[in-house]
Amino acid sequence: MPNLEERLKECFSTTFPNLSSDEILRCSTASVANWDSLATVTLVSLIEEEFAITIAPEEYAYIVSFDLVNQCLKSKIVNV
Amino acid sequence: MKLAEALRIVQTPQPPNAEKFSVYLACGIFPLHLSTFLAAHLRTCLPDRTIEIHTGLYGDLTGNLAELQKSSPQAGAVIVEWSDLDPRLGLRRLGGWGPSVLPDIQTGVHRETELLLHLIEDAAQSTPLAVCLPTIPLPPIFNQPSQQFGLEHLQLETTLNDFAVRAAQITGVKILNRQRLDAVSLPSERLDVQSELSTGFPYRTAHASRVAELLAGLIQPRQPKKGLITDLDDTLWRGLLDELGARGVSWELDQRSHIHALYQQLLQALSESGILLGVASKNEPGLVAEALARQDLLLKANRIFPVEVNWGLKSQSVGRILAAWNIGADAVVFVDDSPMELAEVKSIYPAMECLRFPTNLEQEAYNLLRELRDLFGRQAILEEDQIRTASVRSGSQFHQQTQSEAAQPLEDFLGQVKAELTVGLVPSAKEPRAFELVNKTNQFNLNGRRLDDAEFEAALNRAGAVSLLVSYQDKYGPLGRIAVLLGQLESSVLKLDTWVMSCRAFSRQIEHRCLQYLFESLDVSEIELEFRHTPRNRPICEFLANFADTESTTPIRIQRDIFMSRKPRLSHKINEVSYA
Repeated sequence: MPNLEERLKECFSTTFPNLSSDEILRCSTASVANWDSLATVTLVSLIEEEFAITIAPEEYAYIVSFDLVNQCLKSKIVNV
Repeated sequence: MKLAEALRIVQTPQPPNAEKFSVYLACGIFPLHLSTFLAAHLRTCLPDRTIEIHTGLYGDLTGNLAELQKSSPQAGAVIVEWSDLDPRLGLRRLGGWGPSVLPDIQTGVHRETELLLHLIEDAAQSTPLAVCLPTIPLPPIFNQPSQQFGLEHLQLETTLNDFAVRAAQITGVKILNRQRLDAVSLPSERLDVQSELSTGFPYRTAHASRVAELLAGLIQPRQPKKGLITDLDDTLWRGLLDELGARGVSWELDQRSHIHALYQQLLQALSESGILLGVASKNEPGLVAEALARQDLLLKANRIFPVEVNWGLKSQSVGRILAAWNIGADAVVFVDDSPMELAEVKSIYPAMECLRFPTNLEQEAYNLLRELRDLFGRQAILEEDQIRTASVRSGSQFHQQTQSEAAQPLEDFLGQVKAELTVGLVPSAKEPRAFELVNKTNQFNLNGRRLDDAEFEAALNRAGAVSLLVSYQDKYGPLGRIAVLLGQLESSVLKLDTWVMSCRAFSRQIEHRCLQYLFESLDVSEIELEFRHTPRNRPICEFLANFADTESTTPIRIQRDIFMSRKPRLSHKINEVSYA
């Protein structure tokens, strides 16, 4: 099974299909024009589906860049 | 389907010239992933079309239904949740859940369903609609314990059911079966409170996918199967004829073989709705005849044709049955208890649905019965469906006669059997048999073009529109309505862009007589046909090749004088009628 980061990249790639692999690693709400609230909800749903977790509304604050989401995810998932 | 998969399907590029299929999703909830799933499931059903999903405003189902009607999409999906019938039945609006508000909610729901009914009726006049009734369980508004159905709750359900019954009677409206939804999406696992409160989308993703999948199935139903070939021993009945004899095989409760009686009962019902039934069995013909003559058999023997009983390969028996029915293997289901026989038939007819009858496993056998109902599911039972088995049987007699009296020209034979065509205009796109013929005929099909309701209606109402719905009968009995022709008259030329004829009507020179009728009744000098080769329309191609070059670019043209000089002598009588 691919590691956590690869799986997360896949979620980002599905939400933002126009981003390259490198762009995904650096992306944030500031750098991606179509990263709006709808994209955030879609991204959250994909992450919840992929990792079988629930992201609480207060955690949406972290859904602003790949890096931050990655860190948040690592802290949520044990034994990664 | 998972959301990631749905998004990938939706994001897969389509060829730029792919035809659009537009659907208006009318709902009061925020459609979020629902529209993604609907697009993905429709794309799976229609891989060559570009799916466009249009949605309206949050919280305004009635406004969105009015918008649906204005935008005239090719189909509409209408989702009614309890919160659309009264906002107090949702979670985002506060208006009280106390006993004092229940009568007012009751009145509000009644008023809203009446309004929705009118809007649905109006929209359905131009757009076929798939309607989904509330899927999210009611909130805790009733004072009874949850295991008890309180009066107010029952009254709300009654109002909803009354709405559903009336909506289901509107032409062009299909209601999503709540029992089917319950089977694939547990009611307790549908509501996502967090998503509802934060975004206004109340569905968990799995539920959204299920709702969308079933709606897509209503909007774009798969072609129902046309025929079923069944084995006998340990399938139609329990036991082996060879060992037990005709009286020894069973389908009774006390013999623990009742599941076979249910299977027979289902086959009888399928036959009565126009499904062809055949038997392919490795057995002694005499024993089979004796068993099929048993009075207690729930499937009447005259419903089965042909009965292929021999010791040869099952696939050969199946091949002869397909030839007698003149339909493709992909329209047929084969049921047998033997995995080996199923595999043998499947190896020869890979497109055929081959299903195992699980003898001794009653639960699984019952699931098979449900699956069969689904595979043969159809909108309505037409006149043609009720005479199908008889007409296939008489068709077989017809062909035997034409072959045994080979010395006699077919023209003379057709005169002797009193062949008659009844012709009239197609009254509307809602004529169910004409619509069915256009959308399921493959072999005698001018170009493979399918028409949805709106396209059919447009074809009937364009300038110079010409349409013909053709029925056939002879001394062997009626075949019912078997052909549809659609075109446009432009000065002395008739331009045909749709021509389909049921495969049951082949070898009777009906196609020749149709063209002759059009040349004479419209007094045209030329018929232009928008012919296109398809993987399966060889029969019409061979027919047209007698009068024009089918390899040249489309359209092809048939000159009246060439047709008249090359056509056979035709003796069918023509009756003109109004089908309206």
